[in-house]
Amino acid sequence: MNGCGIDIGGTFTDAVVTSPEGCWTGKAETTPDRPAVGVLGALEVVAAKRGLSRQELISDLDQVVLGSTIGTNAVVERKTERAGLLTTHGFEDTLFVMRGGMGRTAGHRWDELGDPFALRKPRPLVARRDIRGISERTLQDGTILVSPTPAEILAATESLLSGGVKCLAVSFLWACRNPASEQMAKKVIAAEYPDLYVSCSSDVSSRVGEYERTVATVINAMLGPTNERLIATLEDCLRADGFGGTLFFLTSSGGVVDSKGANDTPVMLVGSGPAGGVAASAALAAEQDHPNAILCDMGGTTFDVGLIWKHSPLRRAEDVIDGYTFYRPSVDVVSVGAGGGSIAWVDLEGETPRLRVGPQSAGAVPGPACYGRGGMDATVTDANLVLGYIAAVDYFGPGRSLDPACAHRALDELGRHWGWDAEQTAANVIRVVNAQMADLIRQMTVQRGFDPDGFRMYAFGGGSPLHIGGIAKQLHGREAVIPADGAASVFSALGAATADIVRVFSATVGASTPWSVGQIEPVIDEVLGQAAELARQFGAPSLQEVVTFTAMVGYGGQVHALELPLMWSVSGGNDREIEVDLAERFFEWYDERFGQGFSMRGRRVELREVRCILRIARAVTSGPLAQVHGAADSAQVGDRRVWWPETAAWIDTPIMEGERLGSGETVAGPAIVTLERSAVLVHPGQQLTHSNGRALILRTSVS
Amino acid sequence: MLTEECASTVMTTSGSPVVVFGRDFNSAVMTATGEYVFFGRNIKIHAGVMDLVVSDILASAESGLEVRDGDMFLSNDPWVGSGHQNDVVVVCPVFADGRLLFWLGNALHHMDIGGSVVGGRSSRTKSVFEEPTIFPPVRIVEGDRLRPDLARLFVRQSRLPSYEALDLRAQVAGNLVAKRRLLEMLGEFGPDAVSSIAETLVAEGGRRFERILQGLPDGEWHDEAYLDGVADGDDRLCRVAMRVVKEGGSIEFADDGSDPQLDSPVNCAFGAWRSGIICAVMSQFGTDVALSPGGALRHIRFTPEPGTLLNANHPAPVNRATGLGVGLSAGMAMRLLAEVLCGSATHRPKLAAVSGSEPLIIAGLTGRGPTGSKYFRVFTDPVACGSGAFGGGDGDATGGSTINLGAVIPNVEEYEAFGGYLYLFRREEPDTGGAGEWRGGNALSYGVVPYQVESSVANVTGWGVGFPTFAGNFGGYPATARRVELVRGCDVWRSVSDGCWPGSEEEIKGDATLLPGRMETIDLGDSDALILVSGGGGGVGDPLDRPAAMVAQDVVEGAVSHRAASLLYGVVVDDSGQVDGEATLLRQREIRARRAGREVPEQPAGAWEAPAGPAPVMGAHPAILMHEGRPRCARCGFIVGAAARSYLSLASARSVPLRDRMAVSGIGDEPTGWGASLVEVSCPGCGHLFSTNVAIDKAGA
Repeated sequence: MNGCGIDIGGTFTDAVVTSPEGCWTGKAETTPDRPAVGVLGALEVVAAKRGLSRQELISDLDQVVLGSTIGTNAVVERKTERAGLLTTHGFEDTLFVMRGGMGRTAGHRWDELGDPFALRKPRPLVARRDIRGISERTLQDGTILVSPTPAEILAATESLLSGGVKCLAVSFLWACRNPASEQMAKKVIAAEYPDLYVSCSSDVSSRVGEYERTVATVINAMLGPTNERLIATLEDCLRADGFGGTLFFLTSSGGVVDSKGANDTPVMLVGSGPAGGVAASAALAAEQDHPNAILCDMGGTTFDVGLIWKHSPLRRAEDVIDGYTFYRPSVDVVSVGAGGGSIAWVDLEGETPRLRVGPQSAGAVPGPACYGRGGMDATVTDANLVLGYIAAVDYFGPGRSLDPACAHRALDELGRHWGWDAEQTAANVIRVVNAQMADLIRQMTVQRGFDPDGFRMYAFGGGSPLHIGGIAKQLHGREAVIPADGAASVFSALGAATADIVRVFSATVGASTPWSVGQIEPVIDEVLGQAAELARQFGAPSLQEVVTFTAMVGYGGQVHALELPLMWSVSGGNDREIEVDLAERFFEWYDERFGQGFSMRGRRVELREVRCILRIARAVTSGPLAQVHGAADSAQVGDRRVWWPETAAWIDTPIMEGERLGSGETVAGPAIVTLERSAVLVHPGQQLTHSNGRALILRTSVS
Repeated sequence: MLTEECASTVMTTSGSPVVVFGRDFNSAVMTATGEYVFFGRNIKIHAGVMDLVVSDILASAESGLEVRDGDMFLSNDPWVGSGHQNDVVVVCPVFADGRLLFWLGNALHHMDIGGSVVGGRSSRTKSVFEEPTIFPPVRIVEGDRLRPDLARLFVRQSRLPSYEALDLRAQVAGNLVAKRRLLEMLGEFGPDAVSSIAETLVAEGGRRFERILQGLPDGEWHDEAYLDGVADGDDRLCRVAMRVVKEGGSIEFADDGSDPQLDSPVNCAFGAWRSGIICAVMSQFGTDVALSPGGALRHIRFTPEPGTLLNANHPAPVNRATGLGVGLSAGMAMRLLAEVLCGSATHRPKLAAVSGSEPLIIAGLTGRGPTGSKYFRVFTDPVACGSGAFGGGDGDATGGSTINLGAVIPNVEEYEAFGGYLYLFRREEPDTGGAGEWRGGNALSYGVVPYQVESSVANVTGWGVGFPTFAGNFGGYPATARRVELVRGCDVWRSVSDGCWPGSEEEIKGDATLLPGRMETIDLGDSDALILVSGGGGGVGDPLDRPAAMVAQDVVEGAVSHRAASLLYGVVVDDSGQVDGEATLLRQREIRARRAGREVPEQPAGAWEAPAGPAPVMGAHPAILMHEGRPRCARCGFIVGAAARSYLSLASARSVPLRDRMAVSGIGDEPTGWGASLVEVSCPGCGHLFSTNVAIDKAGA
């Protein structure tokens, strides 16, 4: 089968095409207004590598999976369709109250919180005039106290549409416990307005908490119509080139859904790009037998960090866009605005001028100064070029080089504030950006109760291999893994190409120790039923093989809860061990993190929620990435003057070609190992080894 | 970063909704001598306490208390530093090479650590001995391990031992995580380098603070605030006062003029009072001080007068201090600092008026479910009060307090999941924020009714109900008084059986009574609804200066009623949201004439032109300029004060009944009650409003 993964990033659109014969990659600039152009551009590059026309390549594909970071900005800039909201009368202000202070602080970094004036609630997602209260009420046990009337629902819809609303969210109190009233409303509206995009909270999340559920539903509705058009356009473009296969979409939780799933819940697609990298890392980490990994993805715009712990990617249940917190399962990835295109600037606020990098990015246009497209600001890429870390020649492909003079000029200009020359400035830009990345890694580990010492770092995306050596030094010489064979710079697209179909179904339990199987069974049956239906649709062979369960467990009265694996047989016969086992693992988690005896064994523990994770592997055959070169006597292809911070000096440094490294071969620093569209800096005191399999391992000697 | 690592560990390990939702805890990094290097982002009320605990331990060290590597100390002693007994502080010394280099600490509000009522906040105590047990600093952790005997002793005090056990561990874990990271840093950069960086940070912060002060005019400012009663059935009026003296690079806070301490729980001790002031300093100075207040504290002098309500002596009952003394002193300090800092062009637009939750109002419900099981619920909804307006921006409706940024309220579904009652509505209440050129944020209101319970008793604790308490700045109006309303025998269930959900106050018909802020027991029947309106934020600047188009937008968005638009802003808006320009002009002239006490010409007499160049703001008020040695109205040039220090002495001050200025009425708006009225200080030349104050006629009490 021929598969294809696409990752539409902030700067580049990457494509990976997989087939039994091998694996090919392509990169093109992202075209934010018409993403299909970038997608076809990246496929064009792949086709050229294979000596095919684009149509020949595309008509041969069985599956295309799309991952993308678009959506987030559309919501932040309110460049979506105007949404209306039907909600329970009496609670029309839920989206304005924003749970009080949550609206002023959610999504802000801690150091932004010293300025109350800057912390004000964001613009409304839905204007007050576009919200209608419906006389209805469901209770926490699912009892419907007051049913909405079709007449009121239609009247409200009618008045919203005549006011200019283009899509609709329906979010009633306690719809998570009984969706009947919402679904009735949806049916009534669909009968009268069949073309109107309507999103119900009960279809988006089954979690308790009307604010976060309503935000998720509203974002879903806002994105719905645009997303439908985007999918249609993309599908049309591919079909026009002869594509006869199935189009899938990567979700934020790292799985894929089909077009229908994507149309029903576009909120699940928002920010799905990083999830591809997480999926690919999980596969590589399994192959390398690394249970714990810190995933570092540096692209043109951001640096994203995710985590694999005990073989599973860390997930989270909620997210924040523009200050609005919403329920949506996703892989837990945090970002800082530190990518290759991040602009270095001088902060004159304090006593002395301070060098800062990001979050502003030069993007693809005008891009870093060295792109020579009129960008005047010095970026991380300019610093990398000036210090000799990347080569100017043929950066964008044959005959398309970077302009070092422009980079020099921009860095020189910036350095004047401190009296630094271009090289000194460049070295400091790299130091600042590496420190930011190391901080984010600490935030992602230490703050979540993980000791980073037990983790390896996975470095991918065009930028991470350049910086990971420097970061490793800051983080006590932690071992780093870089995908080999040119996969690093298109790792997210590779993840999209190979990701499984994943859906998460969850339901609330509310049992505490000693709990019984009988308490859990009906709830599991409920989520399992939903999973089974989808599994059937995708033709999964055996249910037991495609579902896993987790349980949200917390101390009685504790607000925070842990997600722990729950062993459950779909064919019944689940025994009494469950309680002992779950509670025991819960206590172990605490003891492991905060010291023996911390967990207070014997305390009452609550099982709050069960989740059923449906995971169906797609029949993707991923051959090895195409080897451009054959084996050679030596991987060294030349040398270059490179500035190394360890020696604070320029050193003639060997340049090695990564694809020529034999299995088991080791390169000692200082050296630069080039990869397709990227390079690994092997600092003095570090060694890079091509491991068996598809990984390069970077080790730091600890003195 | 360090404070954040500690904070997130506390959040994930704590059992308490107070901590996780209310963010009622904070963490800090201090120098070896207990000066703040960094301060966490959570509730700032804990600001004034951790360093005091460290100072106390260091002082005790001189008399034999050893501070050793691997120790942590716990304290909740209000006379050492804690805001009140429920705020437990755990501090942790950090050593390198055998030297004490740093202290880490966190403070956390514990749900129940004993005392005569659940939660510890009784309104009937006569002395501290009836309140939760006091622990002066004790060594709770030895060799990085929680001492089991002391942990037991501590948890033994509580009605909710399981919560306490978790929260105590959360505090210890938070410090351990932060310590691990700090030791990593000390190892990497060397102890000397790290402690010298810390000292530099504190010193730099101090110099920056000093320089800001030096650039401002010297002066002395006064404010006062009143409490509308002491306890259920005790409507005595209490007065608290604050005096601020700014001279050169230092600033002094004093509480002289406050009433003497009482044998009722309305007092607070030094640490709580100081903490309220530090909260205000961190808010008004913003990023200059907020995350690293240690340096600023070198230039702040506290001059308490022992024996007053705000600096009570042992054994006065103090366990309600954080909801009361801290909030009141923070509120007064916010307002006075706005005047002190007004001369700084960078600070002026960011200076905030008081938000509507200082002091806090809390409602609880206790009762018996159908199965006879007892329950106890606390509604923290009023935490989502209206935020005070800024010097250059509106306060957020239901955005919460500026000194407690980020305090979150639970979802209605999260509350209802416990059972026992239903929410009828929860919304933003129009007209509750103070009017002004910049509006104070509107308050949150909500209504609840018991559901499927055998019996239900509500209690309400809070102030700011009898008259407006949340003041405006520079001519902005105060927020309206908070409101507690009991609707007996309401028709909620009739509406439900008719197929209607009565989701607003207006739809809930019954026998309605406004209640005072402190009620120990309100028996609630099946058809009795309780409605609460939290506080709004104070406004900033004369409301007549708010552009009419913005007022019209406020009306369209439902934040301001037509009545308030005309009454307070002088803007006449029709039903379609259009401004009636002519009617507005007339209305505004009428308001100015009323304030000035005479007809005010369209172009003020003398057609005064403000001096050219950057307007030389007097330094204490944005609408008053010093020109030729006299304070003048920036709008018309009228001389409004005799001298810089008495810049409003020649302005016109008129007392107006509250009900004539409040678009939403409460109990104190009636002339009975405490005899509260609003004093408007305006320009006799043009009627520009400089200041509003709630005045209390004690004779009327």
